[in-house]
Amino acid sequence: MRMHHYNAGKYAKIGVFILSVYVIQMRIVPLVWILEIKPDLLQIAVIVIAMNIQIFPLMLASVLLCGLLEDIFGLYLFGFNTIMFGLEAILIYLICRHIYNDTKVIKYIMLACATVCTYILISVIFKKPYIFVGFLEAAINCLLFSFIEKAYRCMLPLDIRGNSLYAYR
Amino acid sequence: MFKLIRHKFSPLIFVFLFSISIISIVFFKPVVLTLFLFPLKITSSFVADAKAIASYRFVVNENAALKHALATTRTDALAMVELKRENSYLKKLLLFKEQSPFTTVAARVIARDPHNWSRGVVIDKGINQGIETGDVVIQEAGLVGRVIEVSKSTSKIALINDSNSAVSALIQRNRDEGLLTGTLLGGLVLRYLEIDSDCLMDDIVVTSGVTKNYPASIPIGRVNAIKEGPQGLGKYCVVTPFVTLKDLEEVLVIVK
Repeated sequence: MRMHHYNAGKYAKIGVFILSVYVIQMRIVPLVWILEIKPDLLQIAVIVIAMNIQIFPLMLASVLLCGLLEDIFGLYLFGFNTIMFGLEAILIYLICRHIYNDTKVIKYIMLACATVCTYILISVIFKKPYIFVGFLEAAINCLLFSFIEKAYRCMLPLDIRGNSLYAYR
Repeated sequence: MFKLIRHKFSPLIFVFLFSISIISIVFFKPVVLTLFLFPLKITSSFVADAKAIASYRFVVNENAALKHALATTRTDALAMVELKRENSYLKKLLLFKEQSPFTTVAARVIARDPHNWSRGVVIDKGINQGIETGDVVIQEAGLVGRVIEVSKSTSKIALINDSNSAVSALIQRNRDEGLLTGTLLGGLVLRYLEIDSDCLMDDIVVTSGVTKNYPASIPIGRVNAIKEGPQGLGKYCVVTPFVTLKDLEEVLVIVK
């Protein structure tokens, strides 16, 4: 029987982490970012969460919250990010169970793929070549990935098993 | 037991002492002064220390109060600068609102679209203030966008540089009509101009009013570059908007 060690403090920290990223994305990035293409910090947070949280329901709830927050102030396609983030997170969660995920390149490849896939779908939906914007955003996201990951690690340090949240069996 | 002894006044001694005093004051003035001031200094520093010890608690409290007052004053000064800037901006907006032929509702931008594939803002006014979907949003400098979604107290606005936005516009000088659309990277382009259109740099672009979506003659921007379209069938102009769309803070919504 699977036994989860629920830790309210850690769950609260995940909530605080997501909300902090959300506030930075909504209030700080528009003020300080001078380029036309903005980074998507919530997208980065989704990848970090999917790679680090081993409790599936908690991981899914966290990434769906990220998607919902991103969708609230989006102009079009309400729910698109929630679904996309959810799917991306499940895929990454499954991949990370089969690979040695400490390899640095894998993280960046997964983030870039997730961003570009989102933009491929957007291009299909709007029938416009957003893919170029997707590549630019993927590059910017990869540049900022380590900062978000470090922030996550500061809030939720790794335990002895190398996970910040682990489902003990 | 005690006897009063009367000494005789001796002028010589007096003169001698007086001369010594004068000589010592004149020649050894600094030494004499130091000599006499030393006990005074000690006493005065002792008195000052005693006073300081006595009033230590009062001074500490006063220091804390002054520090607090200084911090408050600094905060107030910063707030005042911000309020002054906001006041002057709102005055301009109010003046524009009074001069504007439209019925408008002033609103504040509360959030921006986080995506790169759409450009929009959320304002703090909605159905309760009479805003409806399709209402045009302006600023004193020019056109901002259009309301695409309304809730009771907020509205979402698609900016004119959103890639799904299209505004029928014309060049003010020669009345050449085109379609102003947003680009994927957040720019503005006036498309479908005739190949023989004599549009020039710095020409002003305004709304044409051909469709009912946007009222006529609202300024949009200035022509920044003129290029030939694909296959040489027409021209298109890159337009720089009058409104700084990245730094929107307050807007006016034209209500019907």
